[in-house]
Amino acid sequence: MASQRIYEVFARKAHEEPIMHVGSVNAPNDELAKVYAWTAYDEESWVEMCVVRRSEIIPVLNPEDKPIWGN
Amino acid sequence: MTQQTFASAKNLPADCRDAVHALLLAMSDTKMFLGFHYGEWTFGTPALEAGIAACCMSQDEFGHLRLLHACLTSQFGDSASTLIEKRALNEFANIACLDRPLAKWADFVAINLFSDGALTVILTGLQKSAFEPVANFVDKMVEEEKHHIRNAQGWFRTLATYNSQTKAALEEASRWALSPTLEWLGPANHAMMQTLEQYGIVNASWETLRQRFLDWVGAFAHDQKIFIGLEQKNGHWTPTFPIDFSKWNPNLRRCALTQPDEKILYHLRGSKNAIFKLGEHN
Repeated sequence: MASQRIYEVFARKAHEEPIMHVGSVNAPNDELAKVYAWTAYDEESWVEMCVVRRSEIIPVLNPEDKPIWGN
Repeated sequence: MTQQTFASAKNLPADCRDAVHALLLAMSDTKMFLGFHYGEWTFGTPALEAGIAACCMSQDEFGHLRLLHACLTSQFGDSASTLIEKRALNEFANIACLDRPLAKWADFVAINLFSDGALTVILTGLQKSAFEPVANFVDKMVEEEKHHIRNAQGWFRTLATYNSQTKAALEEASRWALSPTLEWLGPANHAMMQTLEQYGIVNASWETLRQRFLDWVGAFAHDQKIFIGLEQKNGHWTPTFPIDFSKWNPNLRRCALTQPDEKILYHLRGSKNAIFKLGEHN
């Protein structure tokens, strides 16, 4: 399907732990991005997970030779 | 009044025992075929992530199948042999639209929505069941089914709005899948379903559960401007097509003498690798 977006996936394993970046997914909309994040990164028993559109992230440091999020 | 509970199948009255056995078999057969189709669609999906989701749902379905088979084995005296290996093709009680390989992605989305939707309605009906062996595992299944429904709804909305071709394919697939799903859910007031309600095996009347499915899927498809063969009457969604339940078989949950594709059963049974089934004797 066209108009895929990249979403970054964040999650934490316990409430007292900091949320961390666990990977990314390609999806045509927010709804499928949530499903894909859940199914692609189900290796842990997460207590919290969220997705963020990569295009919405405002970089503070952005080395030109190395993508912040990988591919 | 406190609801009587049943710690094992041998405590169930005979008519109720048969009804629970038939329902659990129909659910496990449906999950087995659903798991097969989801597994097959690990490859050939429109996106890599969709394949991962399909594979993940397949694992869930086979996990649920294992729980249901464990219950059928320990409570009703079934065995792997009687559940899969030695049953004739015309003895499987899965939703009939799962009988054949799925031709296109829209078919996958339709069976994802309708089959998982129908299973979820029954599973929620079994929550706090008076039959304790089922009540013990049903909450876990309901929780995992939520992700299947989200996948189905996400793809349904996406195909409904992407372009006229995807919308037409989705409508066609939905109308193909809805009728056998309603057949599988069965008539509103069959004696077997009334028995399940009478003994508290399900927490609502079958008519309520069936209508819950229709209202949920009818309103959802209507919101996406997809006509699936349901219309709203007096605040409830009903089929626009007739379903003749006069020949409905409560053990197969089918109105006609249909059966699954033999090739699918060949794969599910692991027939090709029969010699590697260690510890089993022919």
